[in-house]
This record gives sequence, C-alpha cells and structure tokens, in this order.
Amino acid sequence: MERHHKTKERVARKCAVRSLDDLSDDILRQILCFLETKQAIETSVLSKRWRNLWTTLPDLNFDGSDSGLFRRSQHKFPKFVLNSLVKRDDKLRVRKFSISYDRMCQFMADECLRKMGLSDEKMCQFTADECLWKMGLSDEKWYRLMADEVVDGRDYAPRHYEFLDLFGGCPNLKHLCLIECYFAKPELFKMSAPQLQSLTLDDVFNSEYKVEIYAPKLEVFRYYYRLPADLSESFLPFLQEANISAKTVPAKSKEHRKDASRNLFNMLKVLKNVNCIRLNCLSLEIEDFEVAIFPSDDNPLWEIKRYRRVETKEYRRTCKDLSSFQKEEQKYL
Amino acid sequence: MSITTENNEKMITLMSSDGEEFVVEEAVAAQSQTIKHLIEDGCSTEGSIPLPNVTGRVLSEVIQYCKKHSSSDDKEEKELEAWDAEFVKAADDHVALTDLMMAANFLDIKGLLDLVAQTLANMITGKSPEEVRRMWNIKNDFTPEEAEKVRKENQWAFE
Repeated sequence: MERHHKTKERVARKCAVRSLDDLSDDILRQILCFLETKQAIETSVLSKRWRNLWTTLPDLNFDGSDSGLFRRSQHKFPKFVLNSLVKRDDKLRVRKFSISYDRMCQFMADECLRKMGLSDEKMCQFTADECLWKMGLSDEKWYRLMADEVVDGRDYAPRHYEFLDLFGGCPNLKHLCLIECYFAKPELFKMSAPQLQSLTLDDVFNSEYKVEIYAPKLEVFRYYYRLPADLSESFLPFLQEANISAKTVPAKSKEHRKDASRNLFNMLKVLKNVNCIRLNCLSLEIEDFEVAIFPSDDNPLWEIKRYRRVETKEYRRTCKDLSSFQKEEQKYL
Repeated sequence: MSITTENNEKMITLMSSDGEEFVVEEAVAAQSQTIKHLIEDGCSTEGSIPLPNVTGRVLSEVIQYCKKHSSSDDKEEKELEAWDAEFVKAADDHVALTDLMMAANFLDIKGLLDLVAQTLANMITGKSPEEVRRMWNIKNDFTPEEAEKVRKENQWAFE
C-alpha cells in the first residue's frame, strides 16, 4: 500500500512541477474562502502547514448544496456551525457569513438545539451572541437574515425577556433586514444598535408589539406589517427616510382600531423629523377611521402636514372611496 | 518611458522578470493596483516598470485578461463571464494557475485573483485529502499518530 502511493506520488510530481505549497498562506486563504467551510476544514489533514489554516479564514460558508454532508442527520448541522465558530481563531473578524434560508431554519430549528442541550435562554443568547454577533461584525454592506418562523411564540418565550436585547451583541451592525422572523413572546421588541444605518422590519411581529429601538445613527427605516408599531419609546434622532406600510385595517373591534390608531399616532410622532415618509394608504385609512378619537391638536394629521414630503402609494387599488382619498392625499401633500 | 498613441491613449511599458517588454495602454495596466500605485508614484516616466515576480509567459496572460476587462462594459457581463471561463480553461494546467494566482496577488488585480481562486477551489471541491495531495503535490508530513490526532480533533467536520 505504502509503495503504491509512493509510485503514484512520483507520477504526479512529473505532471505538476508546482505545488499548492508554493503559494503563501495568504494566497491559500483566498482560495479556501471559495470552499464550503466543511471542505475547508477537511484540508486540515493534508499536512502540518494546512492543519490550522482553516481557522484563520475570514469567510464562513454554510451555504452549499453540499454532497449530502448532513443529510443523514440534520442535528449534526447546528453542531457543525457552532464548532466552526468556536474553533476558528476568534481574534480575526468574520468578513462574510453565508447560510441559506433552509439551513438557517434547520440551524435554529427547535429540535436540533434542544438535542444539543441548550435551554431557551441559552439558545437566544447563542443565536444572538455567537451567530448573529459574528454576522454583525461582517463588513459586508448587507446581510439578510431570512428565517421563517425562526423562533415562534409557542416554545421560545424566554423567561427573562426584559433582558433580551436581540442585537445587543452587534456593536458594529450597520444594515439589518429581518423578514418574517417571529421572535419570542414578549410584547416588547427591544434592540439597541449604536451603528445601525438602515433597518427593515417586514412581518416581524406576531402581536401588537411595543417596539423600542435605540439607534442614534439610523437613517432609513422600513416597516411592513399589518399593524403599526408603537415607537414611542424609540430613539431615532437621525432618521432621514421612513417607509411605513400597515397592510390591513384591523376590523376586529373598536378597541383594536383604537390601538392601531394610537400606535400609528405614536409612530408618526417619533418620525416627525424625517425628510421623506411613505405611507401606505391603509395606514392612512386606519388613521382616517379613528381620527375622531383624538383631540384635534394631538392629532397626527396635524403633525403630518409638517413633513416635507409625504408619499402615499397604492391607494387607488385598495380604497373603496376614491374621491375621499384623493382629497386626503392632497391634504397630506 | 511613456508614449502617447494616435488616439491620445497613454502607453506604458512593463518588463517581466525574464526581461520581456510589454507596451500596454495605461488604463489596461492600471487594473493592477500595484502598477497603478507605481504610475502614481511616477515610476513609469523613466523607462519601463520592472515586475521582478512575474515571468513573460504569465504576464502576457495577465495582460490579455486586463485588456479584455478594460474594454468591456457592464452590459456585456454575460459575454465576459464566458470569456473568463475560457480564459482559465486555457490556463488549466496546474503550473499556469498557481503562477497566475501568484501574479494576480502580486499585481493586486481583484477580478483575476477571485477568478483563479475560484477555479482552484473548484478543483479541490469533492476530492479526498489523498486526491488533493496527489493532485497538488502536497507532502504529507504527519506521522500516522499525528494524522489520527488531527482527524480526531476535527471529527465533527468529517462526520
């Protein structure tokens, strides 16, 4: 066996005079960054030089349609991601963290993490601190965390949610886009991100959340959900542009409508210094509907006039009473 | 030395490690950040720019890449991709790719560097360690005990 290999090696040497070992560590790293992390780790057995090379890679790639690596047992995948994060050289910043939608779900799926013996609390900490934290350190302009029902209300109510600041471990996070992420039960969505410049919340909540966002550098805020969020406790002094869409009029009860109106009112109050605000017509309809419940000088419609630019969209398609909305629109512009 | 052509394109001369000279438009050569900085520092005004780390054979390929990429604009992206694929295929013996990688690194040409790195990575993907060693002439300097230890250490990735 030994001799057989040696012969083969000699043949190979004739064909290829050069070896990958002629390349510097720095160049090898650039090549390894194009591999899936799993394959990159497998190079550790090549030779002594390669043993720890993978731990110094700036890019982590869990995104592959890889060759059935974890197909046999999906519980191995979260463990693998965790190990990759823990064993790499943590003095080096992560430049890029790629993980596919499916894998993210798998990664965060209830069962897997339970099997790893992590409690709910630990899990929140883990996903936020270990995984998201590392993603947050990335210098990439955008990262998009797409996770459908990542953590849903049923099982993931952390017991001490008042301490939960979802992105508290991401001091360098600049752009965040959350789509269809359902966070734990608490009625409070709290996040502080000192460097955050743009934030998109698209269908992120599952009830009438109170939203506390501390983002002193936030410039662009996009919000899409069926109900407006109460932003009254948020700190967004630098906000330039807001895109607000509350998709449906809550028709359940007068009480619900009142809440929705109050939330929109509070939202608009916080956003009163922005240069440009886009409101979906249904947000306006909510407002229009319950406008009577507020005293006139407390009415956001008065506030709204002070915006330099207000755009409404899609009102033609969705509004029954077109004439009244054309009138309304003029009023806002 | 800088020459100016008829259509007012500034030309510069690059000299490879084996003394071969290449006259190229400045815009083409400036895709290399290294050369760009040398030009900015005034190195191109007096004679040719020496590139001691790059042989003539490799340099001519690099220039071929730079020419193609400086003349194309965005709408030709698809065509450019196809061209890139052909380009690395033509250089598809190991000698050229590692040399090309070193040259792209030294000359600091991001596009070429990524292209070659991706190609080399593709050649590693799906291969067993033994195959990679053979293909790329990597000497296994682990004792059997050490090899076993490394494998155990990273067992979680090999499962």
